[in-house]
Amino acid sequence: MGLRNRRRAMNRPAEDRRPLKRAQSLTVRFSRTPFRGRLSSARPFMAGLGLAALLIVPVASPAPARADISVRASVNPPRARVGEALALIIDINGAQNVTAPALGAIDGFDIQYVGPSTQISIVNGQMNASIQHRYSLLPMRAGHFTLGPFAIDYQGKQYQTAALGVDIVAAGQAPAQAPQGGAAPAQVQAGAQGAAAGGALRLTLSAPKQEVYLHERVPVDLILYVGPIRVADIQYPTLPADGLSLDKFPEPSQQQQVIDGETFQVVHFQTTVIPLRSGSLTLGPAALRLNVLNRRRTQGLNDQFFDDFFGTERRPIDLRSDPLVLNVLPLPDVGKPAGFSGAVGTFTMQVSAAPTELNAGDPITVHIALTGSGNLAEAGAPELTSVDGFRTYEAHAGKSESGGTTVNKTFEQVLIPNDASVRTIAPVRFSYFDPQARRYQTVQSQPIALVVRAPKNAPHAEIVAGGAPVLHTDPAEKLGRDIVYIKDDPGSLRRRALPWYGSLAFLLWQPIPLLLFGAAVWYDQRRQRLSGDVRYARFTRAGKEARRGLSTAEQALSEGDRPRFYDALSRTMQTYLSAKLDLPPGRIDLVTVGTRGLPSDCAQRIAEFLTTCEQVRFAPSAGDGDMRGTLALAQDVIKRLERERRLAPRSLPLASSVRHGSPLPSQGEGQGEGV
Amino acid sequence: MIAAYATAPGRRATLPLLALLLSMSYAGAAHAADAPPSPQTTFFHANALYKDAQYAAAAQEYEQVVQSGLESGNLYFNLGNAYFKAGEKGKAILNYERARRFMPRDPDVAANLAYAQSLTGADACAPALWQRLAFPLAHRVATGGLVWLTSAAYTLLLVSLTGYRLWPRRPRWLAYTLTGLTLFVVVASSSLADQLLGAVARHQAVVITSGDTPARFEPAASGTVHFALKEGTLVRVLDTRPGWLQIARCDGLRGWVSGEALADLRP
Repeated sequence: MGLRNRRRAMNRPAEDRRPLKRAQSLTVRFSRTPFRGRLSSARPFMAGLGLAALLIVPVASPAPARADISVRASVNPPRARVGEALALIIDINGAQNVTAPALGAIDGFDIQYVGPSTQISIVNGQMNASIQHRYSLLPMRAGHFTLGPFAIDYQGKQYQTAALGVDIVAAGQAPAQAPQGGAAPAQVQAGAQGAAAGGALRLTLSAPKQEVYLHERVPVDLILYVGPIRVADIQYPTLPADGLSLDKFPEPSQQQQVIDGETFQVVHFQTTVIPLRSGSLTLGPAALRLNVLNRRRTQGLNDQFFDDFFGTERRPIDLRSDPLVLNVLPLPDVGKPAGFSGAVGTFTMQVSAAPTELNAGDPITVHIALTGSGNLAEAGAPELTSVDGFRTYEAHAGKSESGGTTVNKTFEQVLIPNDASVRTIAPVRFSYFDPQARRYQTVQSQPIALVVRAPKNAPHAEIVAGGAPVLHTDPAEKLGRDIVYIKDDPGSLRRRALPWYGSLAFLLWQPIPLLLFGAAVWYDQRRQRLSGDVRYARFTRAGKEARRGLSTAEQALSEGDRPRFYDALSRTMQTYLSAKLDLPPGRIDLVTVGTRGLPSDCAQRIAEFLTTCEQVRFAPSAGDGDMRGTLALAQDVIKRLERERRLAPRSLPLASSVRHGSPLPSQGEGQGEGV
Repeated sequence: MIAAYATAPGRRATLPLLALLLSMSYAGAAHAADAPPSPQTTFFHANALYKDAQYAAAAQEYEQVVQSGLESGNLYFNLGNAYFKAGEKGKAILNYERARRFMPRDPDVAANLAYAQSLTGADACAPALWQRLAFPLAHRVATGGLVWLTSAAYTLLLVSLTGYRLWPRRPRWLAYTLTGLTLFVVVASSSLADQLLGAVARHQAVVITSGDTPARFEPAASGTVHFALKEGTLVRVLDTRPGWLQIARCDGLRGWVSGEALADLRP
């Protein structure tokens, strides 16, 4: 048995220390933690054999008898230094589907679950399954601790491990040898050691007082104690503050401190909170994350050199403090001064003015500086007790600065003396609530002496009348002259390059109303012409009416009604041609059509149509005369004439027309007899 | 800044993340400090400087805002005030004139401009009576507002004309409305034209040198002095020569002035 196996055997409880039956047993162990997963059997071929056996077992071997499981806990090593990780193993024998027990918080340790590791062993044909749940324990302080007993629930039953004793020594000391015989019996030592009672890591949250006033700036101390362990990566703490205004954490201070003989590194975060409402407000608990540095232990080589060589591992730790409850009192109404504007704390006021020698009408800037500890965020400008003789402007609040509990706030008040009679600037008064004295206080500055001269080159109205003495108007009536004060806001700052009225959208909009108006004029003119000019109206509407007539003719054609077809077609063409050619309906013939100046092909098509109609009319027995061809001819004529947009010249007198051939029947003549 | 601290005898543990966090916060602050302030911030800072009687510094910061390409009436007004307090009355009048383009009816601008002109003796160049009557809006409404008014009235007029044309009844009240709108469009558009031709199309400048600036008959230092220009006088630039500008005063007198003595009304 090697050194490693000997050590394992030593760390196992006595009842578990038995020699392995190499020839008669087969053990296969699986770990679910990837970084630690391994086959723990001594030889690879044995592992392969075990896997083969696993495949065979369900067939060749009887199912394992359902029996109670056994649970056992062990810790390795049972003695360690503060900051050195321990392995807590809960071994469940007889089942594998047992979930990891929740161990909860263990006093003096930070605990993390590592993962499970399963194992199947076959001894003399009997299969046994087991699971190990591993935990990593980080001792936070020295002492003797009892771990457990730990309870495991399995199929409705509860099993319990035995308690384990662990000895933790300070970081600088060497851990004592474990006594032969395994873990010590359970023994709890309450209290631990001195300042280390809180452990090697501790986070405390405190305030100098817990009864505070509304809007009072309250200092808050958040202190991290780091005992004899190594830490790194300390992050800024988080601090819930409902109903409180929490300042940012500034850079923490750091110092070394010896408490009860032990050395601690103390990291001190200081900030302030301001209660925003009265009542009981809870601050915290504060949370802070850091990493504890653990030496990565080398198995089997208990040597400092190898431990350092193999480096350290970082274990994140979340520290939490206890919450802090503040009882916030409202500001009393009794004794509240009229000029109180919300300042809470203790303050002093410095008032200065410049220039103090000036001409009437020149501005004086009064600088008011408030300094102290407390909250000036709500404070308005202190008031001048009197502004008689001055023109005043609104006080301008300067930059407010705070460093810890000390705050400064400045104000500037511009005054312009109206005349030379002004001698002083009245005292400035400032009221605040002092939470220490629990009452309102008022501070008042001294008056500031001024030397105000009459304005230079002041125009004096002089009235000269007949050698009479010069009369000066009442100086009290003189008004100072100066420029008007600057504007407080920049107004609508805009780019100089492109004014808004140079934008494309604006320029594109401009012709739209004009186009709209032009369209309205065109529409109105057309409407008026249609209602007043009969020729134009007939000409314009002829096409629409002709299409309607052609539709009727098409319908008659589809029904095979020859008389109705020719009647509709003839009537449509007469109406259409008379409107288009400005001819009376009864005057549509080859001669008159030829005089209307139509294109020759169009006139030819019209003549063709008229001839066809003549033939149908005077030779009704000549068959249906290709009704479709006649319809197409009429459609073609209408289509050609519709392209003609010009109104035809006025018709010639009927007497001047010379008839060649028979005219088409007039509208009245054509009715009832067909074409 | 925390760098490292000892935890146990002979051992040191570092706080690298804390140091990193702190250094990052400082780096962020430094970055924020390097970023140029916004024009608004510069404006307010200039206001604070002005209130602290640091007029020259305030004027410099207002000028920074102007040089960033932004402008407003309040900005030019405050810049004029800063120059006035710093003793540069010519530049003060120049910027009051610029502010007047944005805020023609602002009484503060008018008061400060008149006061500054009274101190330097510069001619106010008030428009003639016929100009005030013919173009009543030109000196009361800023260019942007006048463009908006004219465009809105023109649109309303044409929409009303369209309705009037299409409405068969053509009511009398609509005819009155059309008449009023037409008159307003004429007044607004003529005022706009006068403003654009006068203040925008014309090249105007202001004398910024203190004292009397000679206007000569020829563009040379040896030229005979024709007349003198007071500090803050608004002139019209007619011609340019290297280093010299031919200007016309309000009363029509013309002369050549050194280019260094004038500042363009358009920044």
